Amino acid sequence: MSEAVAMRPVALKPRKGLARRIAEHWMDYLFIAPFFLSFLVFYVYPFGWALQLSFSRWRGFGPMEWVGLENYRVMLKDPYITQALVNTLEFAYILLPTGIMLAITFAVILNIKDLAGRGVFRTLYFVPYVTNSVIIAIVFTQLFDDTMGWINQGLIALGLDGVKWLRGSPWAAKTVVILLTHWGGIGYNILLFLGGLQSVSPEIYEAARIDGANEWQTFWRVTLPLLRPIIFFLTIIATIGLLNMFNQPYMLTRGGPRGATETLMLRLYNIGFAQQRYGDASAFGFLIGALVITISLIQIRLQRRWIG
Amino acid sequence: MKTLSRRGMLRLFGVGAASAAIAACQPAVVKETVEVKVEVEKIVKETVEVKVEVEKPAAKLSGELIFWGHDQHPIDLAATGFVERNPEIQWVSPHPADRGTKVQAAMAAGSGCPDLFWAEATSAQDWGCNELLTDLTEEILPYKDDFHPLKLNETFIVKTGKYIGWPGDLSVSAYYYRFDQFEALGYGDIDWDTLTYEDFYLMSSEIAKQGKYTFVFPADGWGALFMFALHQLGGTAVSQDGQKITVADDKGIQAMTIVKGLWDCGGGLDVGWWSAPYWAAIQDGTLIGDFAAAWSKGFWEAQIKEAEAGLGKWRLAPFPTGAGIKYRSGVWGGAQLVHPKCAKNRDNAIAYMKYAFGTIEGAALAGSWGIIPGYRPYLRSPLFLRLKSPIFGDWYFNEFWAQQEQQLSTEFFRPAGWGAVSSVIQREMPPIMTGEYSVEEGMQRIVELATPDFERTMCKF
Repeated sequence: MSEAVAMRPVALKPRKGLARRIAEHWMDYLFIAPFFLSFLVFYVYPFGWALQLSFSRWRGFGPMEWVGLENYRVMLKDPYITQALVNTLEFAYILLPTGIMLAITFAVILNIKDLAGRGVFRTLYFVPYVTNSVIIAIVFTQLFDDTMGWINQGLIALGLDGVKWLRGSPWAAKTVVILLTHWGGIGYNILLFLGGLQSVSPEIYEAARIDGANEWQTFWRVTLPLLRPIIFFLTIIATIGLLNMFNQPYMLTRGGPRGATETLMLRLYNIGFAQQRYGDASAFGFLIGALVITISLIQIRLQRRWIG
Repeated sequence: MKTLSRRGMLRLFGVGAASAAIAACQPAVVKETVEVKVEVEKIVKETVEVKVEVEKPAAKLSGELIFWGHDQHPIDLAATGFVERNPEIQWVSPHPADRGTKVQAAMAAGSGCPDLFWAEATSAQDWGCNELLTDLTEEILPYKDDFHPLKLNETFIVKTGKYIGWPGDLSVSAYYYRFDQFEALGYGDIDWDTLTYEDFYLMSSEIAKQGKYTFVFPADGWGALFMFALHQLGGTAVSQDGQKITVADDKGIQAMTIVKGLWDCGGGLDVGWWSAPYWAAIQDGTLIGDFAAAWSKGFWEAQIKEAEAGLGKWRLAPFPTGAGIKYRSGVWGGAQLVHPKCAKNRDNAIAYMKYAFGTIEGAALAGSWGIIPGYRPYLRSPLFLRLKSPIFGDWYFNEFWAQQEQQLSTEFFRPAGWGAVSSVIQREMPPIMTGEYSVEEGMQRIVELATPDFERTMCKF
């Protein structure tokens, strides 16, 4: 009898078809449909269309003419692409380490126990981040104007020569772009590091103190390693953002003087919108995307080892 | 009564929300009629001493006429008279932002196009080459002798042999200067008609030592100066048929040499053109002259309101002369009216073009602020010649512009692809000015750097 019970096969539930399963959960699909519809319309379709455009010659009118890889070849031979790439990498690899170091420094200072006015400082550092970047750029233009800027007027008042910040000197123009980018972005980085610092258990610091570590050793051997995940995250996100830099050079210098501040995205904008070479611009966009992905993957690989 | 289950309530809510979203997404049809200011007619009526016979329209026009341009456009000014003569025309002038991109998108889509668009020369050439604009050959040929050949050339597409635009702004240029400041600095007796560039360099250099500047020359280059000089020499940056970059020929080299002379003399103020420091320098008397187009007048009037800024003290002079110089003027801007093929109201648009830039009354209204319509009968009329401006005081400045019109070249062309060359000239000017490259090397470099962009934007045969 028990063997018969043991041998009795378990009745299997009949497998439902996909259509039936969807029909049963139609309400759930209805509620998640808006996101997927908008994703299809605003991301997938334009991506596919841009991909097709990158293999076509089209200036916004007339039929698209399939040209294969010609747009990619033309863009790789563009006379200003090397300068734009160098400018972009310079901005990225100056802004990245300095941005992280400054943010950590400010975060550590803001994390000091019983610091007077801590809330005010936190607000002040974060205000530029939430301010419209166009407004910041207008203010910077007034500050650094070659002729009537307040910075130059201050320098002249001190008996020094003014600097051709925006139109004359390539490195002066780059410096202003870097300052503008730091001004607008550092608040966010400080906030992230501050959150990381405040999540560190005080017992760890107490243990380090008991072991005889001084402030610098505590920072270097305890605090910084614990901030590695945040540094890793910021490095990846910031690199992607900096390789796509457009706003700052466009608003301050339009890529000048003599292309010294023209980034890859600004060059793409000039090709696409100033010259209406949409096929070339689309191909250029995909090349930039490939570059960003490649650099990001390399960074992720290297930094994963560092984090451990 | 059966109570509504939670799932049922969600179902009802979802259907209601979806219906509301669909209803909200229906486009609203908005027709906007712009009331165009009529007060400009007072200027016309007050300055006219001789009554001018105006042509009567042939047929009764009706329907819409849609124009895309910037706010307070001269075309809107002429529309007041056109609508008065054709009361059944509904003038629609919405002033869309980013209208250059919008009109291209509309032409690409084949619908939603305005009936009239104020197109710069190189854009009109680009669109005309791609057969996006209405053929106006039959309409404009009867008016051929009423426009300078340069203006007609800008509306003519060599590839198709058709005229695709109606000449608009004359875009003639000259040297604006403050005669009182020049007198105070000891240059009150200049013979502007015989002044050479060498004389101008010397004068500017001496004036700069006294803290004043006679023109603007930003440190990152100023392509307009090059184009003025090239025009004066009878040169062109791109050939008429738009197939070749000619900027590095002898005339291009000579033009850049003239510009280098302006750089080297130190008389140029290093500020951005029409930037806040530019206007501040005009207003405080630091900048006492500049090379500019006729259409700049309206913008200068908006900035020059005080005696210190030279109200009533400005005058105009032809560009300096010198070896090889054939013309004493230059070209800057100068748009034309076009009718995209995808627009609806062709007859209304052409009638408007003929009125605004083919009758004296229309041209007077269009020219009452900013632009100078290139219609020659208007340029010879008292309506034009007797206009005054507060920046020029009692001086009849348009008598000068009427003479300058004769100084426009018949050898200067801006076909499709010209924009690509112009932007590289601007970008690559500084190293030539600073001596990093010789003029010849620099011009050759410009051709090499501009060629890829030029080849992708030119009008290919």
